[in-house]
Amino acid sequence: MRVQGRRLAGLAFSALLLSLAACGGGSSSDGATETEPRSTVTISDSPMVTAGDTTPATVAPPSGSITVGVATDLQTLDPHLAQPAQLHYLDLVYDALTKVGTSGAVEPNLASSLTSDDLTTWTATIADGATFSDGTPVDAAAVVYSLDRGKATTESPSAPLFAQIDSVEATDDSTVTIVLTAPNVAFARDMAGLAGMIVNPASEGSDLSRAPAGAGPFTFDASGSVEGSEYKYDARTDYWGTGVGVEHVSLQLIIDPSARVNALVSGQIDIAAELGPADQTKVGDAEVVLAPTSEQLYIQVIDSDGSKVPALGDPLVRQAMSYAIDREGVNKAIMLGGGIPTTAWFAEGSPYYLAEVDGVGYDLDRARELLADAGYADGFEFDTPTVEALRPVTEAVAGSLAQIGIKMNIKMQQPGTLGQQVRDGQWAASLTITRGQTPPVFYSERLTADAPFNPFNAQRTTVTDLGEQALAATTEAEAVSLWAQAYAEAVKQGYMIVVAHVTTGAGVASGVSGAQVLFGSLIPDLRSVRVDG
Amino acid sequence: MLTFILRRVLAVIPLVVIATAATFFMLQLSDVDPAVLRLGDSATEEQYGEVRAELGTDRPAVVQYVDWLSHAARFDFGESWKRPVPVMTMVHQRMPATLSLTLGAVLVTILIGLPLGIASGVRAGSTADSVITATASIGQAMPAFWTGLLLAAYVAIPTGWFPATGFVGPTASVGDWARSIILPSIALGISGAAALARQTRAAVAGVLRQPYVRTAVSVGYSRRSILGSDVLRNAAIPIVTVLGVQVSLLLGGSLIVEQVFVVPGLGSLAFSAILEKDLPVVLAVVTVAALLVTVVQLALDVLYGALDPRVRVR
Repeated sequence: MRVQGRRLAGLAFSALLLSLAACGGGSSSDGATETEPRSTVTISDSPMVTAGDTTPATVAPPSGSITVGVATDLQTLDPHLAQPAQLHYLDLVYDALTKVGTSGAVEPNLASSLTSDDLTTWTATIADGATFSDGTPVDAAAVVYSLDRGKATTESPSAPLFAQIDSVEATDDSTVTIVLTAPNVAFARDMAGLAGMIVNPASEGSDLSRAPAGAGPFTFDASGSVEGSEYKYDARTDYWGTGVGVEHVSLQLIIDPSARVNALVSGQIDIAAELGPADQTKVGDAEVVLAPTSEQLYIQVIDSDGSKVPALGDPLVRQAMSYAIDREGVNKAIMLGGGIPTTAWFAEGSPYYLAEVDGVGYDLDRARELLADAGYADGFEFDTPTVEALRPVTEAVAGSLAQIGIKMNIKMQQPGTLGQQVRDGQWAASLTITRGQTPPVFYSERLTADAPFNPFNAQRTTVTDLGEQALAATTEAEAVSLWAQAYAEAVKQGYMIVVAHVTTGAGVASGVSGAQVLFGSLIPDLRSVRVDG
Repeated sequence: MLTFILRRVLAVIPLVVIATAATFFMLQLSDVDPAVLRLGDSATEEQYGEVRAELGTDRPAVVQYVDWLSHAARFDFGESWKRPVPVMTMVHQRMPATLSLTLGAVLVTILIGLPLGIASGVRAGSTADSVITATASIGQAMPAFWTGLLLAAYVAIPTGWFPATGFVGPTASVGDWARSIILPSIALGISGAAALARQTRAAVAGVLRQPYVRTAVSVGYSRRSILGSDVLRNAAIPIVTVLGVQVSLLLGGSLIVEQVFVVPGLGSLAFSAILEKDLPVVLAVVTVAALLVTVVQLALDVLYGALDPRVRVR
């Protein structure tokens, strides 16, 4: 077994990525974007690829087929309704305004440039020759249509990203002016994800869930796909961009990580995505490609005002839960020591790291004392959802909480559905894992009173006070400091009870080259992989 | 014989209606509201009402069932609550895998269970009988998922003879189709083979003790000819009965085995539909499974009639 990739936080329990379906976003411990200078922000079209990119220098036409075992099922191919955890299904058929390169830097995509002098008014220039899959040119009007469509989709999981857009206007055929409600240094990065994917205006009124209308390098083969099992894509012969390596892509749903490994080893698939440390050791001659950053495995206390489960509304109870979790035991038993047991939201090395909230925090006596002080000496119970890959760690945490009389009833769910369930208010708390998104995005998604993943409209004023100050910060240093304090406060209040930091990995068969997991993605970038021979 | 078959065919109809009605009304007891599934908790009552009206779930349950039944009779199971796809399309896509797996498992059951049962029955009380009986007991106790995991880990991966996961349709490649269903079929059929072996052993040993068999032996007929012409025919009814039960159990067992071998069949469809609370899909799978079981039972009834004319008379 060969291991490739950066390890910012050690080996990880990457099978847990299934829970990305639940959170649909999260906060990175990397914080790459936030260190950008807060002045003129420009991405230009000069280097389309950056140092370290594995895209072949000589562009060969796409050839061969690749089959990838993935852990979550496709929900929708409408980028304005899709959860962030579904990005890999949509990335093949949609191009976004920008993209995140292999180095983690934001690069041009449909927008050959995206610039701003004040971080509020952004100018996007549309790349020459870009076309949608039906041959229609991608122009400024299409970008305006797509961003307006996203803003109008109030139920969109990307709603916080669209909410920052005050107006979108086509200056000419290839130039768009986007005015934000407030300065955002990370706007170019925000436009690299689902929110930045441009939808063909010709699809107006159509259901995009299985009929995508994008400018990406592949088309979706609906007739060749089997719902809930296998989804097929074919490379466009008229794709406007370059660098696409394979002609056919098949995303095969294999929920069980052991089955994904078996499929990889016995040659049924070429890439097994989302493998944990134990599974990574079983891939034989296959290469293991690790994600560039670690993520947080944590209990998200959604009902922190106690609307559904009154006990969870008490900060003493949430703190007791944190003290009751045997993080080192969970890490050793479930993750084979591959995670980093910690109470901190940001890993050491992150610009947001604060040592005051870092520790393992395991103290059963203190936990019982806090629970008694809160009036729950006899404990209480609540339901929590999980998916197969997260079941072991959820059961381990449930076992920890049971030591102080808290009964966490585990309810199995279909991977890919938890994000919507959380947004619908079905759960008071959920053990889940984040995905590489910036602190402002996670904050807007989950912590503010009107956040889409805050269905109970819970008030977290001590955090939101700091968060609003961070959003209004005038220097990068000030913003970093305020975000660090805001997230430390959220951890202290027990809105997020961190169990560990983990890193994802993918098994890649020999004969497949160019596989790299990009920042914020679940699986290797399928645009750049090639099949040898 | 034709009247007999027609009578059995007609008997299938109320069976399917009862099975689907029971499932439908049990599902009605669940608290799943398709409007909430689609719109979430934050929609207005008016929006919920529109979705319920669109799906027809605002009508009385009996009316819904009759409407559903009238469509289901034309194999129209409506649209999935979770996916923008007709349920029948989903079922149709999954049928080849399930039928292949069921066929393979039945073959495994018969090809392993029957010879072992006969061999054990004709040697009742011998060491060979004891070994076969003990092996059958172990085989019957082995859960299909466990057998499947062992086969994947210790047969498929080390040898590479069979794929550890996946399914290839027979229209794509007959050879690959056969390779893809062999291990799941063994995992699914091994327990049934054990049950069939035990039942066959008991039936054969019982018939061999009958006075007419002893008489036939005493007048000089060979044991082989007696076994072929009398013993197996008389032992066939209980054997066929067990086989029928096993086929029904195979459909249930496929739910787990399909997960282990990542076979896109009805079992895995039902599994995900239950987790997603996609009731139309659950109902369709139950209906198809009920139909398959009743068709198998019908075939067995016909076989009973062929094996024993007294059944036809009744």
